Amino acid sequence: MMHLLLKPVSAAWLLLMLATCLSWWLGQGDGLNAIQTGDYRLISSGLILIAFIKVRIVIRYFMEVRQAPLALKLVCDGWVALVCGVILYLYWLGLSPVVVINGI
Amino acid sequence: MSTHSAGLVSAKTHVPGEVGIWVFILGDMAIFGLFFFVFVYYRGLNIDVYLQSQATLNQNYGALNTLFLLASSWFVAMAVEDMRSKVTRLAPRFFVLAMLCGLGFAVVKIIEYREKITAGITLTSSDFYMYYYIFTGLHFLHVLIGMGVLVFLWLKAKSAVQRKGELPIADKAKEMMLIESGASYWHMVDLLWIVLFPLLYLMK
Repeated sequence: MMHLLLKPVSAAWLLLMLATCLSWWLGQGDGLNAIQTGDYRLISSGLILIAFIKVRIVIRYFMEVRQAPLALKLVCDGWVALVCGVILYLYWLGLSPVVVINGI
Repeated sequence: MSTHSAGLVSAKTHVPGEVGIWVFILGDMAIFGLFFFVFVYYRGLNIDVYLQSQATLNQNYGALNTLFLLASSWFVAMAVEDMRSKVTRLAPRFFVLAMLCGLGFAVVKIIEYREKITAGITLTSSDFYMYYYIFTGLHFLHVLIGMGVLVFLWLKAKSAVQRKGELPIADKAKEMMLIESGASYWHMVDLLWIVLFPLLYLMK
C-alpha cells in the first residue's frame, strides 16, 4: 500500500488539491464588489494560470504523458499554452473598454 | 529498485492507452478549447451581465466538485499503478473509491441544478447561464459516460485479481492498454472541469 501512496502521482494529487483550495480562496467574494478594487484583473489572470498549471500536472502525471513519445507531449503542451494564452488574451481584451471608461 | 520492478512500461516511452482514445481525447479537448474561447470572448462584450449572473452561482459547489474529480482521478491513477505492479491487488477497491467520488460530483451537480431551476434560473435567464448549462451539461454527460467506463474498469480489475494474473502475456498487455485508455478518458473529464471551474465560478 505504502509504495503506491509514495508514487510521484500522489505528490501531484496533493499539489492539485492545494492549488484548488488556493483558487477557491482567491476567488471568494462578490464579483460586483471585487470589480471596485481593481486587482481583480490580476487575481482572475492568476486563477486562469493556476488552472492551466493544474491541467498540465493532470496531463503529465495522471495521464502519464511525461512518459509518452515527444509528439504527444508537444501536442498536449501546445494545447495548454494555446488555450491558456488565448483565454488570457480574450479576458484582457474584454476588460479594455471598462478600463477606458474607468479612466475617464 | 522498486521503480524498476514497478513495470517495464515506465522505463521507456509509452502511450497510456490506445492511439484511438488519444485521438478522441485530443479532439474533445480541442472542442472544449473553442467553447472556452467563445465564452470568454462574449463575456468580454457584456461583462456586467456575466458578473451579475455569476454572483448567483455558489462557488463552494464548483470547488467541491473539483476536489471530487481530483480525488477520483488520483484513485484511478492508483488503481492503474496497482494493476501494473501486481503487488497489492487493491485496484478494484481504488476503482470503487473513484466511482464514489464521481457519484459525489454528480450529486453536487444535481443539487446545484435543482437549486438554480427552483430559483427560476434556466438556460434562457442570461447569456452566462446559457453557457453555464450547455458547458456543464456537456461535461456532465462526459461524467456519466466516465462512470460507465469506471464500472467497466472495476469489473476488469476484479476479474484480473481473481485470475491472479494468469493470462498469456499478449492478453495482459492488451488488457492493460484497455485499462489505461479508460483511465486517460476519466482524467480528461477531470481536466476539462479544472478549466470550467475558474471560468464559470471564479473569474471576475
